Amino acid sequence: MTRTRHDVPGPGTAGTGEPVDFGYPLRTVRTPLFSGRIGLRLVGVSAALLALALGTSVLALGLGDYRLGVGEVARALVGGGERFHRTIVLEWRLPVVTAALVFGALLGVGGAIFQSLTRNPLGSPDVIGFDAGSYTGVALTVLVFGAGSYWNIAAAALAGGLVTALAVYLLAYRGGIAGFRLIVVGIAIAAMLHSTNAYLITRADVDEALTVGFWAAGSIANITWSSMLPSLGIAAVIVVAAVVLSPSLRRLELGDDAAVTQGTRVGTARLSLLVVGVATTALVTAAAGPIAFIALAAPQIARRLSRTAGVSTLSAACTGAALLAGAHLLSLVIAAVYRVVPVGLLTVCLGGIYLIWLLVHEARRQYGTHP
Amino acid sequence: MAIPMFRRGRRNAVPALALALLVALAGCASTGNEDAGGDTAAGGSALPAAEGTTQYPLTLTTWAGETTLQERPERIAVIGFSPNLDALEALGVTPVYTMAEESEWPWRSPEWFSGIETRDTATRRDPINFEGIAATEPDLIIATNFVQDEVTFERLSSIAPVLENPEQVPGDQISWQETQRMVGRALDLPAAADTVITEAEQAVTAVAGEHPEYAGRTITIATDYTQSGIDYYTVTGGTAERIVTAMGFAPNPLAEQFVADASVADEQIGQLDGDVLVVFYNDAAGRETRESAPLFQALPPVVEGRYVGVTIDEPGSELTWVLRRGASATSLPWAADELTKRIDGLDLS
Amino acid sequence: MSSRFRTTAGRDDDPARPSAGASLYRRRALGLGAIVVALAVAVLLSMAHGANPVGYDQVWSALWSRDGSEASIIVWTERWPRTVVALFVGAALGVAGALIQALTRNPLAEPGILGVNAGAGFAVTLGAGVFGLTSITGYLWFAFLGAAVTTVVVFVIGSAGGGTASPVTLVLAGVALGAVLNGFSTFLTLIDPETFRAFRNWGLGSIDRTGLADTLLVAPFLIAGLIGAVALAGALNSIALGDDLAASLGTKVARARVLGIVVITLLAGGATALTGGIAFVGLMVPHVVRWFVGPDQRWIIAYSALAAPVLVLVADVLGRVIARPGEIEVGIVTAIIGAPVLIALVRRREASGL
Repeated sequence: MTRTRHDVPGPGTAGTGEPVDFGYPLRTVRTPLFSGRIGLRLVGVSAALLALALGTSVLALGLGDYRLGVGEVARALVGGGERFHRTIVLEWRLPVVTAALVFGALLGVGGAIFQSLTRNPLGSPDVIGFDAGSYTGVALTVLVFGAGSYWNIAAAALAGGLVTALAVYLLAYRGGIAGFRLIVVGIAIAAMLHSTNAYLITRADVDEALTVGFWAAGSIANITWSSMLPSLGIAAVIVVAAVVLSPSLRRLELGDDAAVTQGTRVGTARLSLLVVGVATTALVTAAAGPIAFIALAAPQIARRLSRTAGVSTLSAACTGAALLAGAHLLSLVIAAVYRVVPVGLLTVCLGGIYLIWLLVHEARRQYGTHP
Repeated sequence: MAIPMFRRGRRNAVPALALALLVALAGCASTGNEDAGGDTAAGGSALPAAEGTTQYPLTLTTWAGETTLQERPERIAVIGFSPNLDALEALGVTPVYTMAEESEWPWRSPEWFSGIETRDTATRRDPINFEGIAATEPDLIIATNFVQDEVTFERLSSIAPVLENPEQVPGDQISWQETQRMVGRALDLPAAADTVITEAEQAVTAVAGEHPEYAGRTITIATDYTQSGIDYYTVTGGTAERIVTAMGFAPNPLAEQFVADASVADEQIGQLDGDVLVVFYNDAAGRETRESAPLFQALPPVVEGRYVGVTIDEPGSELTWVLRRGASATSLPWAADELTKRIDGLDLS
Repeated sequence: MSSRFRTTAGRDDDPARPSAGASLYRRRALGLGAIVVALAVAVLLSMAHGANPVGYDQVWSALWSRDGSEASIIVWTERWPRTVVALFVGAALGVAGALIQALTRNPLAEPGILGVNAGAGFAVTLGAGVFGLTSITGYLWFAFLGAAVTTVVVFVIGSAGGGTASPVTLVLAGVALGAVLNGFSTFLTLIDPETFRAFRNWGLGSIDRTGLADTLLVAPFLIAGLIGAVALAGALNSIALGDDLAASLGTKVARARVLGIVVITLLAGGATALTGGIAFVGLMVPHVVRWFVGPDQRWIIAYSALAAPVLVLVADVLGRVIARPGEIEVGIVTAIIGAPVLIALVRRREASGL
């Protein structure tokens, strides 16, 4: 192995010198020679994924238990046709399709930001407890305080996720934020929260557990414009912030020292990125429940498809959108021929199997070209 | 033919193939399969003649909003727990939409159930299938005790008027009689509703007359969930206790300590004591473990043969549901009969 | 004490230099003694406390005579079996965690992250749904099989193509496979909730559901795993120096890795089969132990084997006492008491070395 003790002087490992690989081999990032070629492939892959996501979404608009022909869907989309058909297409199906695209992309962005900051795929928001925090917020609100309305659940999810993120941040803060410490604190907090959630759920009244269960399955099936519109507004802000911050994210990935020499104010940049990353998960979880695995898998799949050394926000967003939109379409097809399956399950299966396949493929390729 | 493509295949081919497959499937689903998502039967709702008591238009006031029935509904969709569908079956009304899983209750008449137009494969654990309901073109949706929030109510009411409680009721305080009366009023069958309520109540109290040996005896009913331990069902003041006392049993004084928390720790299993002990088991393995535990074997009702165990997959295990949330005009007579049959073999002297 | 220790940890501790400072050796031995005492106390606590408030005097006399009194039945048929499970499973999870962290060179690795729990859960679900399993012993073997197959598959994916498993790939493979298997289990449960009702809490981690007889069935595998771990400790020390250096020191790296995977499979598979997998023990105990004893795997394994049961027992006793008359599953409590400890430690030191 080429890895040696001092190969990865990341912030978390400084001073201890143990041979731990916390994530991506940073040295490959320092090869500006390839950046042009990588960039081209990255853009191409992203565009293809985006096209895939959009195509799937259009197909999804035509599917549902209420049978509508292609013409009826098209007429409803441009504001014509029967009033109830418009309700179904514009009020019921369109927000769900939009949610699949936007939420998938947001989860991809959040995952990419955190995985870059921590330089570890386990740095994803769903691994370090933000989902679990939202879940605890919802479980407490519904099971303990008995408030199960949509807006109560959304507010509880938002508050739970943000409080958890703040707690993880404060507990991991020690004159700065080290990626490794953030993950350990995050995993610890996540373990506590998962336990609390499991306790609350198993002790809950069946019907109330059912309310939480609906939400916990991570479903976008019945999303409405009333919840989607505010989400879209916030999502736009998040995307703008992510684009503005992406240069500093790339510089931070090179390591703090490199970032400082390139003129990035490390502390401020990292905090802003943390806020944006948390906002993505909190927003999605509040609106749709914990849709697991996209934040973890999308950046990793994107990275392997576009063959970049680190994770890229753009391709992760496109992969996330394609994953969730694809899972949504698949869930409609399965519902039509068999029965309803939560979309969260399908993202896990689609993303998980694909990621495993990529890992095997990648290992083979590396072995084949190994000197 | 496709093999060479796969062997030399680039990874980008996989998403494309998956998409192609999806398109093919989607095409099949939307054209080839008419009754996808559930079974369908011919014909609409069947209703007994109106009693002429209810005045239409009738405003249905619920905790989440108001809707109005312009005339007597004929195509009724039912969602939610089993008592909602039971309320229609008791009145002899056939709805147009329900969930297929509702056929599994032993008190359900299979012939009546097979007359329902759409029996959706979705379960009550799934999100509400608004499109599926809309596709049956109902003129009333019975969703008592099932609407979770205003958003759900609005979407349901954009399909048809919605029947729900005027106030939100906690799950353990739902009155099946109230649900039955609400349904009777909405369908202009209030007298029939009162009749089926009285008949069901009499079927339960009749047990007390036929079994004088129950008088003054205590009964404990519990469910062993295996992983999360035992839950005490016949807690003081609960639905299950009301049912068994109506059947003639005396309240169990030990039941008071389980009002706040119904769970019974393994070491505290002695608290299950009573003249009769009925335990439902979630699985056979859990039953095997429990029944071989020395502390359980030391329980007086077990020692003296006044104990009945029922595993969840045997017929009759649906009693647990009736005792918790499933009480209705059709399920209660079945439950009283079933419980009596189980206890009859025991020596209560 | 910590600053002095940190500076010495990297070098003097090197297993290649057994002439480490005598004070360090004394400190490690004293610590080991303290853990043994703590373990004894934890066993006594586990026998003395439970949902049923039996008096200490009754417990004491019941300990010495199994006279058929209620106290004696409670102590010997309720508390003793779960104490035995806690001892075996705690040791197995602690040591499995230590081995996984050493082999993957990733201090965040643990059986759960490698998908072992998910594999066991999926196998049990499949066993009940497809093969109609109904006996506890049947579940046990399916869980064992599922855990073992998952461990092996994750390592195979992680080292696909014949190269050695890269730490990141291994973790990703474990998380992905675990997520997919959990997804399949959930799917099966969704299709037929009645059949699978009993598995709703399978993965929660409880030491209360296994009888003594079943524990003794699995115990030989766990004991074999523990012995194997001790035998491998020296080789792991060399591997920690890097594969090339280890090979030049005469360690057969590939063989040690394969044996390591076999041992992990025995330990994690057996422990998960008995309990459904207790969260956090395999992650936290080796972590904490390493802070105290340094990077020598022999000490890490010995400490983990003794300290992890203490955590499991204490968590179990707390779970029995704080929720009276109910109980809280041990897997829930281990996380709640373990997490703050881990956070405190990760804040105290820069990071945990291997």
